[in-house]
Amino acid sequence: MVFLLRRLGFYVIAFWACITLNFFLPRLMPGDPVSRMFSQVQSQMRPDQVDALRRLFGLDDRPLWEQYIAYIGKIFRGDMGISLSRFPSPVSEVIGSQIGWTLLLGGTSLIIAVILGNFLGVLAAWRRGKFLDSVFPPLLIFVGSFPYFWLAMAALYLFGITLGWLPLSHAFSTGLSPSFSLKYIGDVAAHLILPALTIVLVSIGGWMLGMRNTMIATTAEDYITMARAKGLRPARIMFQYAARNAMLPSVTSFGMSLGFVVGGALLTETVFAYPGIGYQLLTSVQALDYPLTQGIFLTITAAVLAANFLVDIIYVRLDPRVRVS
Amino acid sequence: MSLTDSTPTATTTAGNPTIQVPEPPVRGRVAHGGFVHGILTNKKALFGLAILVVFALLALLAPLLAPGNPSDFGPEASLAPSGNHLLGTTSKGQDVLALTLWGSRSSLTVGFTVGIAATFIGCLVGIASAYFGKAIDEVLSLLTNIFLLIPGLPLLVVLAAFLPPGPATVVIVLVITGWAGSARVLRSQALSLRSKDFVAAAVVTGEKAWRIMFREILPNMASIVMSTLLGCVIYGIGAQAGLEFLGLGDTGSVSWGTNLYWANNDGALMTGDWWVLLPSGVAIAVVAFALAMINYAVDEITNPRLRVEKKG
Amino acid sequence: METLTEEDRANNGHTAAAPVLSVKNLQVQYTAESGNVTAVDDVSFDIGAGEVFGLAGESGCGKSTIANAVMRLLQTPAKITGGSIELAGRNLLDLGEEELRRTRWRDVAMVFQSAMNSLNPVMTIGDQIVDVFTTHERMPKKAARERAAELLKLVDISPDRLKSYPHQLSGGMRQRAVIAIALALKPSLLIMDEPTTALDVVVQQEIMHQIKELQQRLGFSILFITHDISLMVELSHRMAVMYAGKLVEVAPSKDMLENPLHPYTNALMGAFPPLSGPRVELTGLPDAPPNMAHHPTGCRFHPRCPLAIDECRTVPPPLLPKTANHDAACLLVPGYVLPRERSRR
Repeated sequence: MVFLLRRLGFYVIAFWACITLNFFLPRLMPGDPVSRMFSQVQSQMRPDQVDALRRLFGLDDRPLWEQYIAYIGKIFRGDMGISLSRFPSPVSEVIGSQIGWTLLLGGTSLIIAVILGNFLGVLAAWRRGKFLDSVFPPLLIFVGSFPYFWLAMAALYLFGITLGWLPLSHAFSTGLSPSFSLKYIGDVAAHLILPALTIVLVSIGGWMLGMRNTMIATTAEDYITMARAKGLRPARIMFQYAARNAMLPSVTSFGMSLGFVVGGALLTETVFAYPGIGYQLLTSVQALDYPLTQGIFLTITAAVLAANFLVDIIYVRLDPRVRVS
Repeated sequence: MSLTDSTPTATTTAGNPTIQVPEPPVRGRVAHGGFVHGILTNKKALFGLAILVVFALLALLAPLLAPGNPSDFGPEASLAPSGNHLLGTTSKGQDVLALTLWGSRSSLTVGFTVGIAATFIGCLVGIASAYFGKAIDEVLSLLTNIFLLIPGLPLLVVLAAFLPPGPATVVIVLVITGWAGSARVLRSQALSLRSKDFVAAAVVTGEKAWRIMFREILPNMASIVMSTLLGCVIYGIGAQAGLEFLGLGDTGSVSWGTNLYWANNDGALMTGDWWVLLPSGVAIAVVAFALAMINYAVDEITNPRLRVEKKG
Repeated sequence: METLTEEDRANNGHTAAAPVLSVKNLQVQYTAESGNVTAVDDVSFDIGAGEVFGLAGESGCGKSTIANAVMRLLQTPAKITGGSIELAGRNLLDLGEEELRRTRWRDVAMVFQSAMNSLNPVMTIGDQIVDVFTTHERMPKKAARERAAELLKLVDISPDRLKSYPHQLSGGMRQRAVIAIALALKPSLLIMDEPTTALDVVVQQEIMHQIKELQQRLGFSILFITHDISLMVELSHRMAVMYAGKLVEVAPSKDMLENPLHPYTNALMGAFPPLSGPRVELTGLPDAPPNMAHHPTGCRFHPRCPLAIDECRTVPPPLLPKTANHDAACLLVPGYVLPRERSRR
């Protein structure tokens, strides 16, 4: 419990740091990006909306600390302002309508990459110097060396354009409306394959190598020797004794790597015009829609922090040593 | 009669027999000769180094190999690779080979600048954190962990959106988002060195803090610094490309990232001009792979357990 | 002096019945880039049924390597390069992986040096006992758990500790739990590799007492490895002293204590006076383990031996019987005759 509370406290501080960064960025930046934004949108807004926007970006006369407190208050009420490019929808609404796709894409590819990568890592470590151990790591490092977006384009070109097997962009075909029909779900799955594949390809090598190296360190532990001495079957030693312990650092790095996955999803979404918040983030930047940009950044951060907390809870379940202290 | 010097003894620690080589006398520098020797005899490291040297030469010689401004539009648009244009041309008639050669200059410069700067900050924060401990460690670790946790690319995008565009912005933004990982690794390494006798001795004899940190601790973690540096350079090259691909970098310059940005913008995928997309992407991958190979080699040299034992 | 035949030597244990463990001419090498290191060199000994056999020596002399060789747990770079290890008449070196797996723990179990590290930190003590039964006896989980509870009682641990994780037990309790696991299948031989080094003296005494009691009750044989001679004399019937990969003296513990023949044994015994001649202070052996990669010529102990004569530098002394059950490998033992000269006779 103490462990979890401490972690929670840390996430709160991290989130506060992000809010603070968000607050000060537009206020301290040279070149006044905010007035650029205003000149672009002022005509289509009501005066009270313009006022709210001015306050959001610090163009009011209140002292800084008062603005700061008001800003934090608004964020915690879920009020992140109004999107300019999707005027007059509130930022939270825009994000809410798109975050599902990102969760689908990021979640699917993350789960596949983690499970497959760790499994391969366990096998590679268990059969040191054999085929899997000698061929896969360099191959996957090489594949992982390509930029996400480039692999995404290559996959798009190969499977989408040249072979025509899979759809080129978006999350589902135009003309279909969301429903729980088999047709719709199949369509969504078909659109998911290519973007998810690229994320899996790029990230799986890291998981495999990380797991392989911890497994190698773990197999040198005394309890593995004792398990062998006990005459247990190799599979049981490999999973219940070695992998079960080796996955602990893997779980920790899982939280850390979420940020990378989000980044990868962002780039991949851009290539496939996949309607998640990563793609939206880029569109908002290009449209100088600062409220939406900041809102998406905060949402992504909050999601990553929350996921990390979930990972911590899982970690406590997996490692009895942190459970009771 | 004494047999004390250099006696590798075979001992077994409950079922895991290892040849224990006695630790070198703890004091000051660890011999770097072994490490350099290790790098120069490791196939993976040599392979990586060779690739890096080739790319560095190509970048240096770009003005000779492909004279003129590579971004100038030409009359021959969207040509597939041929004798005249070895890698073909873009839809604007630019020579892809020239773009790729010139692009390596910006990509490598930014990549290494970012790598070195991020590693430097990482060293500073990591070692200071480990050396001073207590409150300073708490604060610095907190800062490091926050930066590690905030998703990098979205932060990159937000920062790039607000900062004035230009090459300096790209570097600054990449360093801001890239230093934390190395700080964390270097801190834990420095922490284990901090408890060694030679550091304690230096503290007792009243050496200055910065001297202990950079003359006593830092040289003893050279291989870890090396490996974080490589990691940071890989990050720098990849993240610059990502940022520029999103159009948030310095779109006026020629780099592998901007090459891909313009290629994508001009619809090279849809028109089937694959040769415009291929070279810059492969260049990024090959350089990153070379760096990863060297990194892998460094790991093997410093952590013998990862080496595959010879059969027999 | 009387010389003994090979058969006499084989029977020099205190039991005439077939030995539980018979190690013959065992050689173990470590392969290193700089060359091979022979950690165990031509070692032979028998352990009879119900016998406690001690193996003493400095750390690094190869005694733990012998333990791991008997369990066939050695991993690269260590390799058994010669000899045989017979357990109840079967040569363990001939067994295939699957046969070996079945033999381990059923016929020979082992208590490792550090109990903290030899228990899986993420499994309960109970599960770590249960998986021995489920693997070797195909016992259903429930029955296995009952047996596990009995085992814990055997070593004076309350059965509700079955649900505990290793980190929740004290050091002594962990080691007793490991002993319980080792006894699960009632093996005929138990190897104990420095079972109490990581514990404080009081706990050490308790554990030793318990081992002794269990051994007398259940009658298994023990290969007991330690560098602590006093512990060993207390527990074992017969003991061997090892130096730089070779056995230098084998004798019933009482004989060894009262009449040590080898100068190294003497040194290990600490304050005991040497065999003959003026009293020499031996306790101050230079605290340097022998160089296993480059053994000195002749007797491996000669560079540290206060009694060494010129011949010790050139002639390697084999382990030879002094009396029916007391062997030593030292040229200075009265009546010690080198095999070459013996055969000439």
